[in-house]
Amino acid sequence: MKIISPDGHIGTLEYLKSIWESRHLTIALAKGEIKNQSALNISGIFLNIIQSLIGLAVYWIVFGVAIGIDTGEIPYPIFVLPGIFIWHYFSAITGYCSNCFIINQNLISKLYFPRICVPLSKVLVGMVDFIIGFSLFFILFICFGQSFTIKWTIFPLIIIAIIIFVTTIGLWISFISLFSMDTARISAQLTNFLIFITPVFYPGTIIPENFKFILYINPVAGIIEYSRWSLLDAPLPDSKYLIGIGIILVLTISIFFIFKRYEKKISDLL
Amino acid sequence: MTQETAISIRNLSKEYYRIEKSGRFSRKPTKGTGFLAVNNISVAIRKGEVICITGHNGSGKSTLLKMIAEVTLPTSGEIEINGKVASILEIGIGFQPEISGYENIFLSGAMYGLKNSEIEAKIDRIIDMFGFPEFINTPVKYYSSGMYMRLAFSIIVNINADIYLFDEVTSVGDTEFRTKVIHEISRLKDRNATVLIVTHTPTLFSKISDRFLLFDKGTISVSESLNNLQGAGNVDNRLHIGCEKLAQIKEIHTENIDFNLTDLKINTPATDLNAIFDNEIEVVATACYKSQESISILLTICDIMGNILTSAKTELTAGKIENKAITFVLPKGYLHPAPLSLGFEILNDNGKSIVSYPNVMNMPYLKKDSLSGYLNMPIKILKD
Repeated sequence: MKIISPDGHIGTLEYLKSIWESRHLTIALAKGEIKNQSALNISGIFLNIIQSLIGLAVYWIVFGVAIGIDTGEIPYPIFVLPGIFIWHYFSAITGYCSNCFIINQNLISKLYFPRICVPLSKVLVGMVDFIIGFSLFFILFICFGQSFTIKWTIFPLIIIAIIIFVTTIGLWISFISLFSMDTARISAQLTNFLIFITPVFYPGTIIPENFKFILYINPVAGIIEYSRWSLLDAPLPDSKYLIGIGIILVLTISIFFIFKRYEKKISDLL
Repeated sequence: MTQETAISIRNLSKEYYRIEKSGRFSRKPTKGTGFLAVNNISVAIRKGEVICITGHNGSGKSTLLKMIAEVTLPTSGEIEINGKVASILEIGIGFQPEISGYENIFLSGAMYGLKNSEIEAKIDRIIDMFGFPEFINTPVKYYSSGMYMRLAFSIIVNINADIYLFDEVTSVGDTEFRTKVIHEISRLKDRNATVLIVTHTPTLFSKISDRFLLFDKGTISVSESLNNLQGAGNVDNRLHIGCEKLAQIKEIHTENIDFNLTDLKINTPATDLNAIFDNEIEVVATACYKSQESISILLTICDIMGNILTSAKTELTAGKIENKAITFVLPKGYLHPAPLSLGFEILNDNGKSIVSYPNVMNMPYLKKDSLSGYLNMPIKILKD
């Protein structure tokens, strides 16, 4: 028996359970979108790979060769790739989630399911590119004759951190987009700008000490630095990077409860 | 039917706001006065009931369904639901245009909480119901709107739920599809599922509905039959009249009576379509008949589903009569411009139906200035 009342209250456990029970729907939403995308351009996956390779070549020429950023022992393409695919995942999710409710408005106004599934499905869509990016990195890693270290075993933990991070950002962006139609444009501008204050193209160590706080509060910076440490045997990053990770955890928990509170009201907010 | 309640609605209201000024440059339109789309309604729906919901546009039908489906929250009051709800507020939601119908079955099924294995078990049935197996691998963007809807409907009725909500499912789709919808709904009813149908053509569902719910400006009236509804409300739905029982086909004894139609004319003083339906219509049938007793002829006008819209009766004396002109006068206000069919019913002295000629004449779609159609009745010679 279920009672529908005006306050739309859901218990925390009940909410978590309903999200879990809707996992097929979340996966189906993601699958549908991936299939729809790859049906549009026949060479879907190949295009993604080519795009990443061209991007990599440009960064290599500009930052590795022309500017000559010092990456120590590690060849520049290998150094830059983890940063690129993590950043790409983040910026793709920002883009997808900034209009996900508006795009799925028809679905939301006609069918009830936990609304959080919409941004969650976008996280799954972005994962395809992430896997492609990581595979590319893996191939180049072997091509450049790098050796695996024991620290690779920590990388799955970092992947979990990445997923938590992009999910949190995606949920926040999608939530904000309910109130302002400009969210999509603003977030696109912001990600374009943020890439420069994140150690994607350069190692965090080249930033002067008095500006480093920017990196410390930037969660992407921490994640990228730690993944380099794990994958490329780079020196262990400053423990102050954990501040950014802490910020993310606070945001994760808060957005979960915000979504729980607004769950039933989202269709009226659109 | 059990007396267990499936949905119990208590003092339910939903308030929406009118937007008073839609400024050309101001981003936020001013929020005006509120109005109640659903105004303090209370109704209990038993398990296994089929409820047909009707009313004008904007009277609150869909809002009620949305609240039951949890898509939108009520402003006040509450709904108690016993069982799993499958809501079909719009047909074909969750379809991705670029991918094939087959894949969309799985996608759309997942939207309603079906696992892949559950869909696989039903896939043949779904494709069979869809009716176009040769198109199942075509991307749905190439489907016609009718095909699109049939696919969506086939998926929906295969969801296992206790309560089904349908909003305007028959608005697209041909007669065959409508028949299928009705058939499937009665199948759901046999399974003791509760079904709520929102429709503008309540006559379609008159046979399978247990109760009718008429919405008028957010308030409702509930009735056991369409006839009462028509009396109760200010609906302009041109609902039924109560001559259904008269026209049911009884035993036929052709040896006692022979009736042949030779001509059928429809006279109306009106010159345009709207005026036709605002006037009495005179139907003149020329017939040869032979009968041992005095009989009466009942002319019935049906819609495409066979629901009788109106009828007129004329008495005839016994004997063998050639080319007799029989005049029927149809009362105004019951016909509409949709396809109609004319039928004759021959009744004996006691008002019992002895011969029935349904669908003697079809009037496909009425032209602007005429009520014309084609005759279906074979002309034959009277036997002695």
